[in-house]
Amino acid sequence: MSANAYRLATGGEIDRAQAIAFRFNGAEFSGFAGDTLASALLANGVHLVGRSFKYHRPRGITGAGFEETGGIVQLAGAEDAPNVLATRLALTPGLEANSVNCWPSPRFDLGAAAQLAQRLLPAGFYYKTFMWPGWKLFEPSIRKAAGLGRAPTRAEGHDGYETRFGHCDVLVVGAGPAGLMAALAAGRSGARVMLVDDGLVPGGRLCADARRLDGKPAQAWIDATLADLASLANVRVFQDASVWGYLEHNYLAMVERRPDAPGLRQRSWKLRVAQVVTAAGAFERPIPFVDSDRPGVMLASAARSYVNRHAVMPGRTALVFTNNDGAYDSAADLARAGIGVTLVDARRETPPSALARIQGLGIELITGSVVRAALGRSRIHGVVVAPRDGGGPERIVSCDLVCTSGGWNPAMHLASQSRESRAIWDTARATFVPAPRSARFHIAGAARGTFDLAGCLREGAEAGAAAARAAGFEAMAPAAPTVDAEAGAGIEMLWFVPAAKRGQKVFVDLVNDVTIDDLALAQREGYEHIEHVKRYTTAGMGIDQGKTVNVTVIGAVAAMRGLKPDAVGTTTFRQPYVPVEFGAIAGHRMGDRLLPMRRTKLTAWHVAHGAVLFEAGLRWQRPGYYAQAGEGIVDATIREARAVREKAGMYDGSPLGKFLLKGPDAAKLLDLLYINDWSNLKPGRGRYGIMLNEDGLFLDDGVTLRLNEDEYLLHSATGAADRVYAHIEEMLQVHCPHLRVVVVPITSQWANVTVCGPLSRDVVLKVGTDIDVSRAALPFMAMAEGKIAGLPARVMRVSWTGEMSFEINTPSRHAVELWERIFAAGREFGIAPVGSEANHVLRVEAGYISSGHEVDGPVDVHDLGLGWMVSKTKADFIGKRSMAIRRAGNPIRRELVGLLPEDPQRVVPEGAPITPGGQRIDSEGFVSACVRSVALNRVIALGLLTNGRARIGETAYVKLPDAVVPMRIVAPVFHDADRARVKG
Amino acid sequence: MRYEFDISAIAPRAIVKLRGDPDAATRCLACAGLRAPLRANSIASHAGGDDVLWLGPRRWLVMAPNAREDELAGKLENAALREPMLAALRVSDMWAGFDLRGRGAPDVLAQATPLDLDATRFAHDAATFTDMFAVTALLRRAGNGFEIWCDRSLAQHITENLRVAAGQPDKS
Repeated sequence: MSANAYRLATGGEIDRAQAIAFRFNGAEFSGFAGDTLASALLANGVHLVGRSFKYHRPRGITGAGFEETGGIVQLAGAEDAPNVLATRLALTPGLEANSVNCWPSPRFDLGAAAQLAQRLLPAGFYYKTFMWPGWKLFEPSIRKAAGLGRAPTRAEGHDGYETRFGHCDVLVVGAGPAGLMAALAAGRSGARVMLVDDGLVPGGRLCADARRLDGKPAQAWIDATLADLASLANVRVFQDASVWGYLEHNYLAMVERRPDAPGLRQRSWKLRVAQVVTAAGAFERPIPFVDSDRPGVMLASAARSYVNRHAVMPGRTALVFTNNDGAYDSAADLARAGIGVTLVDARRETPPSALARIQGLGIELITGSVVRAALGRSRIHGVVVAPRDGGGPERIVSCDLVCTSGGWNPAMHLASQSRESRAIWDTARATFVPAPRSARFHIAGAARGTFDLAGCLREGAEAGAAAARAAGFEAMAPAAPTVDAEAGAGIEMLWFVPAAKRGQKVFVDLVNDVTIDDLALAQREGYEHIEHVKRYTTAGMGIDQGKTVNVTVIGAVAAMRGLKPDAVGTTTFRQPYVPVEFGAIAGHRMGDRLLPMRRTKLTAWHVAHGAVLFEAGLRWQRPGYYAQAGEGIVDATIREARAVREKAGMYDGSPLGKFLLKGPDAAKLLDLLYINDWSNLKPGRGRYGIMLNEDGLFLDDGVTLRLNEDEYLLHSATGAADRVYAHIEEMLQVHCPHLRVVVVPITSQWANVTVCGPLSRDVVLKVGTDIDVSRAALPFMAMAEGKIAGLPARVMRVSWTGEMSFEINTPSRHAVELWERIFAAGREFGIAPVGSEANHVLRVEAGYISSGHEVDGPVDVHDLGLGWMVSKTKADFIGKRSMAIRRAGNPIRRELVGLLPEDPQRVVPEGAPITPGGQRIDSEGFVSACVRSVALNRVIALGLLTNGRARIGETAYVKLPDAVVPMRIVAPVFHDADRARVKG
Repeated sequence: MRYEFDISAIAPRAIVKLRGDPDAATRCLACAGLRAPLRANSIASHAGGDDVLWLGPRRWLVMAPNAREDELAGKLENAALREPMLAALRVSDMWAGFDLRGRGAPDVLAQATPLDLDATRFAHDAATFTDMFAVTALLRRAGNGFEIWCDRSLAQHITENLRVAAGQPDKS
């Protein structure tokens, strides 16, 4: 076949001087600048583009834009991407694309064997077939057979994507006649305007339909209008960009393709706008008939686009099948391009205005008839035409192109998603049209159901001006240009042509391979509601998202049920309305930068000294352990824990939550927040407290210090800081506004270097301090301020290791110096930096509880053996009543116990269930922590066990997938039970 | 680099946080020779480089040259001792600051914050907390550019994201 055999000699918006070579399925072709992949393939006589999703039927190009249902390709090479519409892909040098859903080729596809099994694959087949011996047996091969493309493997990564926010006063969606007028009207008012158009070029259908405005070709008016807009600094125009989602409060999602920025493939916008004007146009809908999915069948408007815009003949002999006046203009343009045209109109009568449009063009008109079936497989070679009422003979008409036109569907996706408009049925236009009901949402042109050009221009101008005024600007609708004549809008409902014989397929949704029979099956099986029909059959899902399918499905269901379409109702158009690459949505927030990991001032030191960082709550990164040469996590943890038990350790406690409470009612607030008493705490002393939520469940625990008469320093667990802060603020702002307290979070102001272990006091003295750190002067739970290592410090005698500890807080700027000075001073005492893993071992030995381990959702303080802390004197505290009610309702609780495995070296996973006798039945508890104890030189564990405290001395059984581990139930403190070492 | 953009760390500044009763805050600031801004989310600038930022109904930040930390914080802390419902705390160590310059700075920032940074909406004296790459940060105008102040623990997260947003290679 000669190159571009179907190219017209003149016309079109292509540059014949710029030939472009490209490859499709490995074969070389050429097109011109201004082509799309679809137009270039058609120019080369290629109609068979791929195979269908489910049955692997041959499919060709059906549209000329986002309404495409057959021309779906996989890009290859550097541009590797799936689900690309050939109709939306500008032809560029070196472009390489392949068919989808076929192997080895679209012409000979082994997957087409699926057509032999069609009877096994009706709508919803996965709910009722392939059930024996099990769906999972078949699922992998069914999933492999389905789908459109494959995920790209290009190495570009996410550098090529960007997500950003955007703002404007007026967002105009669509740069067709209505959108351009709207942007002009709003732009001239001074409002900040964004004009977003998803076409490869602006103008909507103006050039595709070869219209004339003010007596000149439409392109001249488009160019002049764009020049006008370009002169306005307050207007930004985005071409080849789609507004694909409309969320609450005028928050919209947009994707910008090929943005003018180096290295950027796509840019995703999150728009917050004051006013929206949608002028997104309309989609022509097909008229399904038997085998109307064959290559060579396309929308009449698409064929007209190819002729006028790309100077391509989609076929040499065309049959136009319609039920409306508009198709007469399409037929006329095809005929003018030299294509032989037969026009089949399902209506018995054709309005004179429509007839006038084809007069003298040699078009044969057949009225009152329908196309019953297409002939051909990989490319049609004719159709069967028959009287619509069934009477009279059938006739075979030879043709290599069938253009269908069943009317137009306004592009209602934004209107539907906005929830600021409802869809109403319009019998005269045989479609649903949007009825906006919001002062910030405007619809103009074909998107509103106005299909004549003059009306589109007028509505656009008015909507743009109205939007600008609503945004607070003075605006007037500019005068619209005059337009040439066009066919009328007459239409007669025809949703599909039913099959004459059993077994013939009438495809209503080409993307998902849904047939009229599938819709009927859904009805028979009780899925009558249109939302159920959609989900059961998948009609309108996927790439199409209802552009060409939805109204046809609604009409077909209405016809089956003998209802009017408005009685059937509409479905909601989902986002994204057009295919959007995941990369565009994700942007560059990936990898190490996805989550906001937090670092202390000491993090770099830790890493430089071999620390392996773990997340310690609220994204704080803390050393898990410091690996020395040849050490793994177990050895390092044991070494560090042993250093603390026998000599000294130091750790970075900076992430611990810190809040200053100031005010005359601070003690009252603490009394409300915590289960224990605070009013009697003396300045300079601290107390451990437990905070419950309103359900009486554990919220947080920590030490609070009284700094002076009305100032307290509250510490929360690292991971609980945010929820504790929110809890306190809620109390102060909502429930107890009478309390005179100010709360200020100050976590990052202070670095915390904690020195712990029997030699910790020696280390502190060695490094030098003007604070008396003796037991008498600074006992357990006391604090003092002064200098350590010459640096300002606040020292607290608090311990979470079961050893004497000095928590040294200093303003963060001094963190590294303080740490290094202590590390150097501690060397002679065998000090070791300690990670969270060793801390975990030490606190389990000491029997201290930990959030996420012993403390999970349903635990209260009595369960943890801390009921003694509950104040006997306070009238109330948050959670008191809930806790009492719950315990009164069911006194049998899971209680904290210690566990010792019979095999002293047997470690069980934390979280492992405990079941009666180790049987495979409901659990009676779980292991909350299990460590290799350095104090006992064996494995120890903590757990929550039903009636646990009463069962001390008995044996519990941990049920693992492959074993049952007996464990002796003991008290949950393994080390320093009298806290003598802690108080040392 | 995709955008004309430069980011640099700001040398430490004296920062004092005031939290509590607005009248008490006004009195406290006056003791240090400072006045509170009259509009929410704006800055009252003073001679000598002292700025008072009004960031919430009961929340202010005083930013000043680092050399004045002890003097300024001392005055404010002392004044706050007389105000039972006002806390004045030096928080200079909590914050990390970054200076953003270049014609592309608004485009880079638009990838970080949902704020409308148009000069008509975010004026020359504007300052506000905002979401920035999923964390909270303080954004203020500074001459032709912007300043970002964030909890220092999150500084690397924000600066790395800004760097990549500007078009520098992703190292992650």
